[in-house]
Amino acid sequence: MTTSPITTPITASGSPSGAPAGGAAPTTSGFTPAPSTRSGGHRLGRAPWVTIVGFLTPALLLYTVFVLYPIVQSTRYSLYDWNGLEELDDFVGIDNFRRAFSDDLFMDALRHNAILIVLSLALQLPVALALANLLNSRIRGRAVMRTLFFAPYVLSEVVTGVVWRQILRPDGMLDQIMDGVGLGGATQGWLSDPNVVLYSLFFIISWKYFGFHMVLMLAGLQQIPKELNEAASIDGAGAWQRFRYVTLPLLGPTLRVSVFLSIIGALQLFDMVWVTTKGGPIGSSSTMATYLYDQFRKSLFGYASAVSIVIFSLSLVVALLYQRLALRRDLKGTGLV
Amino acid sequence: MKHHHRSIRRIAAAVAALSLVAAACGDAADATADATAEDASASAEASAPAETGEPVEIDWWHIQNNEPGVSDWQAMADAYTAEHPNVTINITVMENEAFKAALQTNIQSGDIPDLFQSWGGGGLRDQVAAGIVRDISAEAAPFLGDLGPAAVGLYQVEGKQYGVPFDAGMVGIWYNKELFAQAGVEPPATWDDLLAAVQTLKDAGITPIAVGAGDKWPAHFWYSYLMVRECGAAEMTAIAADNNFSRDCVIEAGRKVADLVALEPFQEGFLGAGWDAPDGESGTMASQGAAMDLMGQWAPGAFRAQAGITDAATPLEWEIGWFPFPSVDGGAGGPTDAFGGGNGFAVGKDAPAEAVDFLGFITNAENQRTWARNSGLPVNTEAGDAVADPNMQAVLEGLNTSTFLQLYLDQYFTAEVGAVVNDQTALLFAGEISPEDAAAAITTVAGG
Repeated sequence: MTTSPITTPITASGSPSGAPAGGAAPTTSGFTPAPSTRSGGHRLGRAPWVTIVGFLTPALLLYTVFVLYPIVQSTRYSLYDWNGLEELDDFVGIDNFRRAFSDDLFMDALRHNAILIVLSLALQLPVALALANLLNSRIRGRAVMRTLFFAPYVLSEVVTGVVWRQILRPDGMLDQIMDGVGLGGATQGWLSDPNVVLYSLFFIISWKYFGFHMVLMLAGLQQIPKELNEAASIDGAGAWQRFRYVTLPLLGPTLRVSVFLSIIGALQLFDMVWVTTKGGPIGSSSTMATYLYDQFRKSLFGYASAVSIVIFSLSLVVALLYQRLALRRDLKGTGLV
Repeated sequence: MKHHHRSIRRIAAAVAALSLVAAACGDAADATADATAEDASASAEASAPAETGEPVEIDWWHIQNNEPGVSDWQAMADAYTAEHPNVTINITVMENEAFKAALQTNIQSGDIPDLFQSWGGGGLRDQVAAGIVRDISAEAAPFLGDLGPAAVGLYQVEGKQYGVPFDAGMVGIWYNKELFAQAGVEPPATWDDLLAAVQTLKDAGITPIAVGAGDKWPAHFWYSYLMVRECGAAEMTAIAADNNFSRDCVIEAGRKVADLVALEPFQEGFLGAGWDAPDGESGTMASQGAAMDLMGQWAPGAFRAQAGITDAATPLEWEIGWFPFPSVDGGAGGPTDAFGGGNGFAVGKDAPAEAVDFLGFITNAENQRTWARNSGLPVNTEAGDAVADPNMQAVLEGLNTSTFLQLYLDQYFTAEVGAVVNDQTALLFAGEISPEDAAAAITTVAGG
């Protein structure tokens, strides 16, 4: 955090130009001296090529075998009606893709993913931001609280699922607590009522991940120089104005990364759902990934491959679009855009 | 991936062929057996494992992951290897669902276990078509005659034997005698009696039925058994031939499921419950949370496991009873039409002859008596005397007096049809689909 943020105007309009500069400054230094790299190559003659090939080959090989090759194979399988055992000879073209988009269960799964994304952005991230703000101020026991809030993130998804399944089961811990405090009438089939289960899942996901986002934002907040807030205070800005016009704009890059991770996480959600509900009851908490797994379990390898291609493409498009539209400014100068 | 592994498999196969002389002899004998089918028993003797002392490994996957199953299988493997010091048996114990996933993965990579859990039916037909299991008709002929023909028949595809059963059973209703007594209910003989019993139990404040509709297959027993009752043997066989489930009898079965569901007879949260969990079907029964459970002969073992009882001699804290699925007025199926299946081991395509010999060993009368005493119902007809439990005797009797045994639908058809039957059952249990639409949805997937 060198000089540039100091010169940033504290008005909202000025913030976009200021915010990325702070984030980009340290990283650019590693990429800028392009000429020196070139001269280095001259000095070492052929040696760099030996080094490059020597170091790159193992990684490339692994990448090819475990990433590229399976993608190519899945794409191929997706064009066949194939049960995974017999010869791959029943070519059906794009029928598998048509089938996916005309299957209500897949469209339900897609809708559930979309609901989870919207809920994550609308509820989980604001809560994380609020807590981060709270813990960024000087309050008693903040180190303890920080650890407590972050702890769920350390658990594996499977453990989280198993634990919450026990808590939310009929007449489980939650129901008993609610009974105890006189809320017995408000208990639900948390994981067994088709109309409730998706929101129970969202709660579990939020419980697990809000701490992670909170820590991200906390790190972002601590990079905002105190001088700016002080200056704003002197100029008569209230707490809300300082948050709205100083903190929020400067936190932009962090927030955009948080949003990105939330979206991608929600799109690929599988483990926790599978352990907690298996996508049920009657598919009401399914996600695209659990739907995909169900197809594999039915030995519909061709169709399942098509579904996996759909999920892959969807995630890729969302990721690329987001990177292009939202993250571009943050990544400018890093060589990633 | 497939082709890549194939070449590796070829090399592996070549190595195996060189080192496993005994296995190679077995294969050669097989070929002879096919050529001269008349004298099957003679060539079967020829294919019996040669005691060459060449080391042989048998990879064996089973799913008896509760005691005493784990120890009993281990003891039988130890006894066999003691007699045949050249044989090593590598046992992998898995939970049911984990096994299915792992087998699929290993089939993909071409690494097929020599002996693995099989239920016969559509799964085995698929495996035969894919050439991952091998014909053991001749090798197994010497001991297959000792086993019940209905169970043995489950492991035949087009007249050839691909596996050996070690257990058979049928679905029926397990009930808590104390809860029945408390409500003053007798085991119902007809469907109408059952619905009346459900109401009486409810009125007495007892949850009538435990079901794990979240796992779907436990719920499908209700739908399928009603199909068997409504359709009868002839129609069920006809469905298997034309894949058309949109028949009056299937729709009527769906209506009866809906009638049952309308009484709200199940434990709280049944739509999200599984079979094998403390909050699932078996856990609910174990903790006396429900009075009845439609399940196969393995149910008492699971109840005991959920109650934390690991020792076979210790009974449950409550008295358990069994009665066959009620008869249905006006249905084409009679009370002796049974619905069930069993467990067996399929023989992987590269399995050595010793693997088949070992199957003969674990299904001999003595080992089947151990199985009957500790785990399930024997298929070796001589071992029936070892069934001590009166409830198990009732199941075995039900099985032996059955005129028709319908294999579980999710095993009898392809995995895909099985899955859609399960899915539609779950929808019926949730009251989210009409019996007509459920039957039509199954027909669409089955291709009828």
